[in-house]
Amino acid sequence: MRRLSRIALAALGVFAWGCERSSSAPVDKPAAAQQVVQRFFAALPEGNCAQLRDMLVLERPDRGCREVVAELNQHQMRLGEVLGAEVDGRDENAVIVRTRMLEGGKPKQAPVLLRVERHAGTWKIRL
Amino acid sequence: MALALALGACGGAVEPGVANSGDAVETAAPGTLDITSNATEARGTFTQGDDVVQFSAVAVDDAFEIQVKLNGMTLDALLDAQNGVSSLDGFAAKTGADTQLVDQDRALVSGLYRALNDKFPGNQLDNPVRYLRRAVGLWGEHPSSVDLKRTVMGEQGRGYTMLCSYAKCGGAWTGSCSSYNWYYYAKHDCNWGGFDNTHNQQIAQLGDHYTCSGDEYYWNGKWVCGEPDHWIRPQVVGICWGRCGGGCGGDTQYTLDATNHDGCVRNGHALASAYCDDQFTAASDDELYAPNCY
Repeated sequence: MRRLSRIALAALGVFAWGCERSSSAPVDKPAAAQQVVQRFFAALPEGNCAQLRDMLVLERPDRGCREVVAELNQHQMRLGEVLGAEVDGRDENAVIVRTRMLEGGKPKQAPVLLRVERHAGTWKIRL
Repeated sequence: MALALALGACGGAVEPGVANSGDAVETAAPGTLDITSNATEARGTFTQGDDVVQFSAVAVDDAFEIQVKLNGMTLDALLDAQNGVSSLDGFAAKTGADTQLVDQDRALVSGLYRALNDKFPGNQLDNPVRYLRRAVGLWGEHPSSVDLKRTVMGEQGRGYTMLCSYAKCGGAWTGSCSSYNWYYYAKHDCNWGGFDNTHNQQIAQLGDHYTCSGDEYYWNGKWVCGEPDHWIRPQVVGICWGRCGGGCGGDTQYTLDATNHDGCVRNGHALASAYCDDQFTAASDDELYAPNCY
């Protein structure tokens, strides 16, 4: 019953999405989000916040770009591959990017979900 | 990937860096809990400000169907406690599309968890409330980076290992310690190295033994309030160290995986940090199925 309800909801969602697509120019949000994830992790090892800052959602005063990037590099977090991406069912300005991450050179056991949000027209990763 | 919450998983969690003041404390649950329960089901709402959480736990055959609705999201779980198998999911309530638990969701779910603990302080509960509380406790700590749709298998000795004896100090489950009963070692793996790296290990007195309102560590001949950050095998105690669930919930499950999860989130990593994903995942079956120590 529970699974059926989710499947039925998903079918309705696809229908609604189709209607929306027919009435406005499509924006490939998953592709845009994947692209920023790939650009961010490609640039991460250099740790250059002038380049990385605009790709991050930074809201906490004690966690600026330097802190976030330093922590990621300390953990040697690297992007293995992007497994997929889809728009968050509750927020059309957020995309869930499913990744295979490496930590210290070893693949994480399970896929890591990254949240990419659109802020003032720019896609940014919330870490 | 540090998504800090005010209240640590199984105790206080702080940002990496120097030890904190140890003042991360579980406050009284704000909000209103309305619940009706009996031996076969529990239903109700939790209201916090403008937010309303609807929840239910219903016995279906030998399993429990649990559903929590908040912020346009449905969290559900089918728990077969007899066989230690569960199927967890979370999705947008309107469309069924995937979504993530974000900080606001965790704060609300944690509020419900604390309210359930306040309402049902012990662990002598009807099963619907028992498993509702455990599932809610798990969702309250669920990192955004972990998929909501997953299967959790639990079996004592394979899925989870009990560490009840280490939660006693001087023969008591709670209160200040007179003679410690150390557990060697709480472990995690991270940027410092693997499980064998001594920076990733703590010597912990499990259980509800503390004098600070958070964590404490032994340094220079005395106990100091706070949390060491990747020191070499520090001796630590704190609020319900090694116990499943946030803070000191009504359940009293002290397990190996919960201890290792605490060893991660109480060692310089934030509660919902992706760096502790593996430990969170490993501890999930403990929280859902492990028996209470007392």
